[in-house]
Amino acid sequence: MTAIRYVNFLWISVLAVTIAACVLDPFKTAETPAQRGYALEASYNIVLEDALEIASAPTTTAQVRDAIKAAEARSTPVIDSLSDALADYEIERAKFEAGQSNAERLTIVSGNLAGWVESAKQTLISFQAAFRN
Amino acid sequence: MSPVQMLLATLADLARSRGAEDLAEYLDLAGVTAGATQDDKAAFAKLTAEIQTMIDADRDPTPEELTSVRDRRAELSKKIRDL
Repeated sequence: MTAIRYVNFLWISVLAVTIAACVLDPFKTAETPAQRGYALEASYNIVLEDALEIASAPTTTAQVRDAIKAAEARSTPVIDSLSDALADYEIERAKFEAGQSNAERLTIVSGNLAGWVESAKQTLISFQAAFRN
Repeated sequence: MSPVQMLLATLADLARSRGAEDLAEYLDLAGVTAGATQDDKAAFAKLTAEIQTMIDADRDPTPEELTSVRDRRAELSKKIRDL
């Protein structure tokens, strides 16, 4: 019985990844840490445009508008931190390429960027859910 | 929530319940683009093409591109806060 459930889960996983692959282009395409960070920042702007449009609409209730404003106030600082980590990474990488830094320092900055990319992913998901659901 | 988003959310919950966190997160992110409007889909496609161009040129985003995306975010953020 457990084996059947496991096989079913595998099939569902394959189906899920297939569906996701059709709609996940910016995140799927990016290869380097900097490209992933940029993809998230630019995707956040796309979702932010939507949020502004919905919040500005005369038919939008005050409750929804307040929820969007609260979600934006929580989300943007996280994306700003990602942006700072991305800038730090780019500076450190340039120094490394110019022989003014070392691999250890670049690894630390790269790890910091990876951490903010993960936080930004969750932020993007939560922010989108706050006004599209 | 669109039907595709609902399906992705259900599958993400299922994946999470089985301990497949990476898959769950991937599906949650897929839900962001799946829930996009037609205009947004064009914007996501444009962004994808932009990133593909960077990959083809074997480069990362330039400081100008990073500044531009950051300035736009600040502008949109201010507009929402001023509503």
